[in-house]
Amino acid sequence: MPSSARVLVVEDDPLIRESVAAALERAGLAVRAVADGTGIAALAADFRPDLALLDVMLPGPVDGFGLARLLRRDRDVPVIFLTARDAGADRLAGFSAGADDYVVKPFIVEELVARVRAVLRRLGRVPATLDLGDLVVDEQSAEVVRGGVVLDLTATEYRLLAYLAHERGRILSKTQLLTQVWGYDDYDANLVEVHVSALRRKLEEQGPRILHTVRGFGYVLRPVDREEVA
Amino acid sequence: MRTPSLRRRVVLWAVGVLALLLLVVGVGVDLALGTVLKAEQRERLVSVAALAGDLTGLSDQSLADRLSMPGIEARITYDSGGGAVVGTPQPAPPGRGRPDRPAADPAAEAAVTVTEQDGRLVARERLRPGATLVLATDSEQIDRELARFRTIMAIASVAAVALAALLLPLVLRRAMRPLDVLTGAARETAAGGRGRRLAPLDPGTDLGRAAVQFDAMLEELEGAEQRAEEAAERLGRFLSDASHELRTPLAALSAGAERLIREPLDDEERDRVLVRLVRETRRAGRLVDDLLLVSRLGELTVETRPRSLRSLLQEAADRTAPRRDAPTVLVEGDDAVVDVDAGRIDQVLANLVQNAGTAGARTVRLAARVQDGEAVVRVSDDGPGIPADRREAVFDRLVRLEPSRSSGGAGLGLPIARGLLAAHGGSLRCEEPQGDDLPGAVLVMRLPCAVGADVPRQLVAG
Repeated sequence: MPSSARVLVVEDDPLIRESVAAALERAGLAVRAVADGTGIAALAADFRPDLALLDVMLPGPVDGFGLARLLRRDRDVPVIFLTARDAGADRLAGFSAGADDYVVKPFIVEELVARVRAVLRRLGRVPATLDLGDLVVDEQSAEVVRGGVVLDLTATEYRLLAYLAHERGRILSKTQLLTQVWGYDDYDANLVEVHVSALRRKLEEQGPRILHTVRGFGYVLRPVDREEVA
Repeated sequence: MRTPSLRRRVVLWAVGVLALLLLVVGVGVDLALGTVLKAEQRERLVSVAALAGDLTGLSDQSLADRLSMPGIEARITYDSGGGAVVGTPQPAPPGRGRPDRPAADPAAEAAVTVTEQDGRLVARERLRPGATLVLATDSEQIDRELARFRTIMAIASVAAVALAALLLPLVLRRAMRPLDVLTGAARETAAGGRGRRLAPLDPGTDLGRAAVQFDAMLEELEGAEQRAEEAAERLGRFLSDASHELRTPLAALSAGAERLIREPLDDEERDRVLVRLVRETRRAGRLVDDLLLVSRLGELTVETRPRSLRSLLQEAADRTAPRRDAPTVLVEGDDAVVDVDAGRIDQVLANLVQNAGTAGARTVRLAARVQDGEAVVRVSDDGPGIPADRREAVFDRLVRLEPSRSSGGAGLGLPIARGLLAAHGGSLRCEEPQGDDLPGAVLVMRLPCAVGADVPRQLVAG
């Protein structure tokens, strides 16, 4: 397996910093998270980030825009800005400072992770496909192949499967699935059951059961080895 | 304001005044002319009577005829009979239009008596005993002449008035051109034009004064407009800054809660995140309180009670002591009795201490002194200090010397402290360190001492 992509996080709020770092790590990325821009050049030289996630308003003499210029001067590091300001002028300043993306607070961490992965995928720093035995999820084209056959999934079913595939082997609760796939508005928890059974039916047309119910806990995706199938 | 046409009004008034003047002149001349004519007539009458004395040897009839002339009727009356001889005018002798006026003869004239009768002048002269010459003027002659004069006068007046009514508007249009300029400037300003001024060459004249006032009004108007725009802009910036300040704790709350959903944390770690969530929530709550407070600082009322300044300072110091991130607070100096809302003053002190801590100070010194009926507390710290050119700016809402969020302050502490002190009749200023002050930032708060209690307490006690 190639070394995982590296993300540098500079954010002075500890709760945001830790939550974002944890979510990125869970997505399989190597993360270095710091509170300000102190010694950023040395850190960048040592860590060699593939992407930098920078808060705009930082303590210390250099703000996020300044850090971005610094990082891009030494190495061509793509940058996503986190900011509490959404005024047009600031957004413009962000992009002129070389932002690849611009995320306004408050944000959904999982959405931020998805954006980070999208930028890294574009750069070829994360594989475009998730390889799970006889199941292949192509995140670039949102296509799922099982046993050589392309599955006909709805957009919701695809998002559900992608999340389960990322967290493969881990039991995910209905709440976790609901909030991840549908978001944080007030949805009926039955949505999960309905879509899980539809997804399961489509998956099992091409092979054995890999999407299991763990009674009282939730659902888990346990891929089968290709040899096992063969 | 009634707004009749100025031009028409001036024309009407001018024409009216002109007509009145013509009338007065006409009547005056008419009266004078009447008097002059009458006097002339009397003179003539007297001279005709004198002529009678010169004409001797004529019959009464001839005499009467000779004396009768245009405008004068001659008669000779007799005392005895009732009869009278009435003269009829004779054709005047060639070359003589009227009898020469004889040299005034006082003796002859003395015999003539002139009286006025029914508007006519009547002269009586005794020719001989029993016979009296009566000469009477023809009153209509004067009337005719006056009537002719009146007619001429009336025609001339009407012509003059008509001419004036015709010419005045033309003249006025020219005269009122500056008024049109003024109207034009007002119209331009009303239509949104700015910066237009009349700049009168002679501000002493009536139009000059109006123009000066007009310019002053425009100045004031544009000033007020600009102030309103600036206030709106400040408010907009404040709202944008305030919402920005709230976004960070909200982002932290959201991210923390999401982490709790997504990640399998052990109990210790989960509690740590939960504590952070609560802390972040309280921070957002305090921020909302501060924003509300700062938005109505101007209209704040405080309920005051006499309190010991020393104990207020000491309480503030004691309260901050247990916090790990708070600086050490030293309390020194005099005591004084101040009329304050203790909760508000505590808030002021907490803000000042927190501000020092945020800037990186480890020690804060509160030194109290009573001076000219005021309690002066110098709050100095050992932090980096505030540059001289920023000492007033730190009191602007949401201003921070160093842009940072996690350091705690939202930039509202100092404006709130100043506003709360102002509500107590006090003040807050940022000054240069001096004397025993710590070398960092120095904030000087002043509070009026309670009335009748401006003597330091230790002196009263001693």
